[in-house]
Amino acid sequence: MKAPFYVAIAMAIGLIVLLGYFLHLDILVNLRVVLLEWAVILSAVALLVGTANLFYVHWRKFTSAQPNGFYSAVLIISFVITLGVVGWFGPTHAYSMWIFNNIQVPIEGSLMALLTVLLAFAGVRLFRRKPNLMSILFIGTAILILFATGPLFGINLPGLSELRAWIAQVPAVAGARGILLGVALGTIATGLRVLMGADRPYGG
Amino acid sequence: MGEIRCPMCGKSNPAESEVCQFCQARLIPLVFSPANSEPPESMPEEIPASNDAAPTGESDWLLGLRPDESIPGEELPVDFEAGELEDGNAPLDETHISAEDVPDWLARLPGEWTKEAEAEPLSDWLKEETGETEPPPSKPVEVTDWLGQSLPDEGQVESAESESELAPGEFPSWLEAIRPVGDEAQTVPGRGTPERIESAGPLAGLSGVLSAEPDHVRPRKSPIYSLKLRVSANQRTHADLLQGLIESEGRAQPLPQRRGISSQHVLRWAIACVLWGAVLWSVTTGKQEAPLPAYTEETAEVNRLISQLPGEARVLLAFDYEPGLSAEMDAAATAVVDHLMLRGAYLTLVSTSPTGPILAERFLMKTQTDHHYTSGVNYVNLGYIPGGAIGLLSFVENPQRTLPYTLDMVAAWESEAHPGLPALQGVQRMNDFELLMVIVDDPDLARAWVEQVQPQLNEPDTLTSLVMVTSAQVEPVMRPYFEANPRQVHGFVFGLRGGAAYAQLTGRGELPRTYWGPYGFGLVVAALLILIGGLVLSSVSLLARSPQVKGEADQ
Amino acid sequence: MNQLELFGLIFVIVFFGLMLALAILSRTRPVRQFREIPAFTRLRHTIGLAVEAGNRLHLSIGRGNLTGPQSAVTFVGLTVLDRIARSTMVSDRPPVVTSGEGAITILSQDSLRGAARAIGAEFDPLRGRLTGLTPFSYVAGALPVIYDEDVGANLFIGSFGSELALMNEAGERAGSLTLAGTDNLSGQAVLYATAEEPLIGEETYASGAYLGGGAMHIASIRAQDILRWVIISLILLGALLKLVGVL
Repeated sequence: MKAPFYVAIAMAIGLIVLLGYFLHLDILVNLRVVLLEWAVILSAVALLVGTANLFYVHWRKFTSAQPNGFYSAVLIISFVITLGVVGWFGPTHAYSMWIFNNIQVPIEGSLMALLTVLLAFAGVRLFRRKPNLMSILFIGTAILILFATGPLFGINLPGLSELRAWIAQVPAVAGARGILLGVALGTIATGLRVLMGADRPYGG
Repeated sequence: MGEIRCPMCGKSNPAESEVCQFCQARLIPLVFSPANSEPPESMPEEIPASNDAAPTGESDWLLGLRPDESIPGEELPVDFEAGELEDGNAPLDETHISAEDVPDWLARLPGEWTKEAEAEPLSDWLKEETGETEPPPSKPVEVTDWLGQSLPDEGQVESAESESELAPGEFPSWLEAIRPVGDEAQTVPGRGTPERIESAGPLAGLSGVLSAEPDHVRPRKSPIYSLKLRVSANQRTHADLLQGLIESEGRAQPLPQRRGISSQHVLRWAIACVLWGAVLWSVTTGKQEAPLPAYTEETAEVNRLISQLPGEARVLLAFDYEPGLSAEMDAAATAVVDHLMLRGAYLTLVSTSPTGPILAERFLMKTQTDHHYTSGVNYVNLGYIPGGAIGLLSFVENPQRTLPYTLDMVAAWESEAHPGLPALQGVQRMNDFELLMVIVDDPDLARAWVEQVQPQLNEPDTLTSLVMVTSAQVEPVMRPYFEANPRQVHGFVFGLRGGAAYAQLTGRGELPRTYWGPYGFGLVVAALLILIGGLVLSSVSLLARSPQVKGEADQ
Repeated sequence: MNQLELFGLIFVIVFFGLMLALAILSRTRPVRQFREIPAFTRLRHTIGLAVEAGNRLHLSIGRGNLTGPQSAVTFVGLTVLDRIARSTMVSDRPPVVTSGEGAITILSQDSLRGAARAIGAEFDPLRGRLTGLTPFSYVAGALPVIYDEDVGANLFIGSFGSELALMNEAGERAGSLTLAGTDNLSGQAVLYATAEEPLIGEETYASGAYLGGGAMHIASIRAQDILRWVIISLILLGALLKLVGVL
């Protein structure tokens, strides 16, 4: 009994929003605006629910003495302190900014730096893992762009910049477009499946 | 009162019982008597005992089998004592069976035997048999002594001599007649071994006699079987495997140990040290100063559009990048936002990312301190737009309703009740802004901005321009929006390279200049690492593989 | 309605009609076999191994929200979750799902609850968890799951950026299989270099059909194939017309 009801709601609302985007009828447009506002509110509430879930997961990990529970304790303490400081003083206060500038940004920047090393390592190993023409092409293009993007010790090799520009504007764009078209087709197919009720990632 | 022992189960029964009380076997065998069919009397022990005749209708002379001694050592009935059968075929007590009941094959047997006996010279014992016994013409079958012993004899049966004695090991004639041909040649297992010699009954003295009593009722010592299993090597292997599986079932498995230092770890650390060392060296020594790159068309367009802004222009500035990429994005956007502030533009800050508003504040504090922009006066921070693309669409269609307050919870928009903040004076819709600038690191987010904002900007008489400052990874996706006709995005600054080029255009912006040299040096080092490291690793693996392949080829 | 909107509406209607027609036709005519995607072959094998060996499956659905273009690939991830949850919930180590957005977390818990209810198993809501709200904090929260919770295989199907490389690397160091697919271009580039079994382009969207989806999943893939060739033809025709000066 429940499942058909959920499906009916999902299909009806999806159809209203889709038609409201193409057909500029007042009633459809107004309905679409209202439904989209509800979606925005639900997204914000879902953010809070997810945050509560994050807290509870780590609380349980810490209280049940699971491995590496110490880090969960650090998270809980950080969570509480940040919530307290930002909630009390405001997000633009100096204390709030200090937490953001000296903890979050450096940590995320470090992870980004780690990513740089990992990608370089993956590039080094790619020849060995997938010794085929596509890998050679992949790595060759990456090396060329890396050389051509930077100043190259102040040396201006003739044609290197033009080659880089051509690669960035023609084959790279073409490849990106092709992949994006495929992704767009997949997106439409998935959306239509949800609209038809064939895919039901809701209602258990 | 006498007792009779059951031939099947060996238990004692009253003498007058016809059937055993325990196993229902007949105690008084039925004996064939062709002339008379008087019911035989029981009591095979009694001599002469009147034997019961075979029940009417029953023609099987073997029904009257006499009970064998079941328990050794027990006193055997007199009738079954050795020697009683020696007198041959004549039963002591016969059971009369009518001639009509005798099957033809049975009727033929004595004749044949007799003929055969006449054809061949008989052995002495057989001669005695044949001589002493005269089969009555009316009786087709000669009944042995033990068969007729419990049966009444009416004289029909040739049993003139109550005891016909057979020598030990001798077979009566009738038995010999029905003996299968070649039976002597068949070796029964155990026949040659010291076996039990029948000591009573008609088969007394014979060896290898099958016991009339089934073995299972004869109490005897159970045979001892060896407990040693014969197990093959394969079976033992399987059994050990099964035992190992069962034993390991309840045992906690140790967690797999993470591998210690391996060549992969060493390679990772080496790459990290080389990269970080190169950049650190370049930053600390400042020896990698490099000329700023030349600007491109899309960067020049941004510069032109900002230069053409009127004084106190309203500009919407979206900070939609993540803290992790703030190093690149700050460097890319510094010169551009600096140019905006130089023009005196009022800035309205928004973000579709939860950390965007804080990033915007940080950006202004870190890179634009020279301009002394004040929140609520020169710029307003409207905060976070929830809901992703839907929220963005909602903001584009009705910004006042979507974000009515600033980050500091101050009413931002102009209304009857409030005059509104200076940055939003005269702004009701998106195309009331002179310029929309999106600072974004994600290609999907960049596309979302273009797709949601464009319908508003395409309205007639709209002079609002859309420009973007993006990460370098966004360029392949977003460039077509610049090259389209009409342009959907009017200008781009792509990554640190674009930011450095813009800094060269304006002659301002310290951050991109500071980063450009070490950035370029790091790029070159990374490219060399990938090239040389990849070639070395591939060569090593090829060399390692070729002896193996060669070895396989040689085989 | 302008020209572009009209074309868009027509395209959607044609797609819809094609899917319906192919789904109805497939009932009477057998469907041709799709090309083999090694990632899905390994996935089926790995799911069985994970249940037998008592390992856990880790599925990460990414950080895309449900209100934008990334919602499609997020729905694909939820469909994959639904398929594998029903297969692996009987294991003594049920799967764990991580995500970077609140609504996805709620939906993933819903899928796990449904699978548990279907087989009568106990549902633990902490099996579906939010690990972070920014890309790197999301990855930082997912890494302990990969290292510490005895994961036999990692499935990353959703919207990921280049931070996916960190998770792939962690899976490789933990000795577990990594299968990943994303709609993000940067993420796909990183996948090619770092993942054992990358899903490039639309292969991610075919997950439902390859994992035993219904007739509509298969019909949608076939419709995609047909329309892709139509688009290719239109692009080539347009380029040719532009070359000769007609356009």
